Amino acid sequence: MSTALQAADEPQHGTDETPLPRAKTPVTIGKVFGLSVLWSLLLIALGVVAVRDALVHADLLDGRPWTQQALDFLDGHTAGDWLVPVAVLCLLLALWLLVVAVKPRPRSEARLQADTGVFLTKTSLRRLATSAAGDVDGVDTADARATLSRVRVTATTTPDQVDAVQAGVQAAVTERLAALVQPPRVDVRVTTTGGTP
Amino acid sequence: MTRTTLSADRIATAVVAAILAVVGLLALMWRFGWVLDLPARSSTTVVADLETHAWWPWALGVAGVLLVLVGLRWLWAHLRTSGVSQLNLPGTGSEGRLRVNGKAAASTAADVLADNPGVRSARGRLTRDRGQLVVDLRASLTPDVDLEDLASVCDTVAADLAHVLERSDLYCRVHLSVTGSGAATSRVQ
Repeated sequence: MSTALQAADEPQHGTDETPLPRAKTPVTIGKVFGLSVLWSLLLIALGVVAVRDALVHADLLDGRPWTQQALDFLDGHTAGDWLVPVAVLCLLLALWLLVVAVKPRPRSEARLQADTGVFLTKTSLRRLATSAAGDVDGVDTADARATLSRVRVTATTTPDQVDAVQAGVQAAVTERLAALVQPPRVDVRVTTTGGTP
Repeated sequence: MTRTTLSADRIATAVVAAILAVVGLLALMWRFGWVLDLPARSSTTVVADLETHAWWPWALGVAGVLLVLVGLRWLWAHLRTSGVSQLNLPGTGSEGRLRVNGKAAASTAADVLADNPGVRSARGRLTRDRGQLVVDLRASLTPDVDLEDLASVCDTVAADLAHVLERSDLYCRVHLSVTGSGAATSRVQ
């Protein structure tokens, strides 16, 4: 199997070589990415306004400078109660942005036990759980929802098999995901489809 | 996205947060007369007077162009992919460094991975992620795959890559993706 990667005249190495070390766990793109696209667009917009106003000042464009209009708008207001909700909004937004700026990006895949980096996607967790649950005796239909920390499986069966299926699905899904470093919690809900005639 | 871009993004977001916080605090100070003794009526005449100077249009124009350029550069930094194709291998002697197309090594590793029960297909590439040079393999699996077995196969493939590529700064990551539903399929060869 390893000859595909090595020259034909080299001796087989394979198992006595340490594998490439594990890369960092994959993470989602994070909110900071989208926000930064927004900031860069705002910068461009501000720049365009500034250039436009400069051209108006130089009499190369018609109209009034927008910066002047903005300053006129901000002039002559008295401190009223309207400032309070504005202030609260600003402070809440500031807090949220600070948290987003500082928080590490959440993991997007679950790590498997291995020397090198092997990861399972969230969708894979869901499909493995569904498949494992579906293979249990007595299960009519099975469905699952998964996050990296919790898998919720729903299965349907006949009323006389509910307890057996509950235990069976719990065991099957837990065993299926046992190869993970931090196996998610498995919650099973069994509903009935009606008795056999 | 590079680490520099990510750091710049975080700093920029924190700066916006700081600006909003200052605006909010100033609004409260203005309304309730705390700390600063802000006048009862807002006045923008100080800034408006700036506009009457002869250098104002120039300053505004230059600032505007700079803002647009910075904004575009920053935006572009978010659109770049992080694939790395040429990889220099440590060679013997001063003449000639062995050059292996990193993509080819990763692709071969993917082919090896794909040749296992439970693996439908696999592809590989070399990428840079958060300061690491990573051999990134992606494999499509059937739902009945044996995960423990596959994990040790991945270790073997990673060991072969370590031997072939001989770099101390390479990492490996295999993404496993289960595709399709339920029924076990037999591999007809």
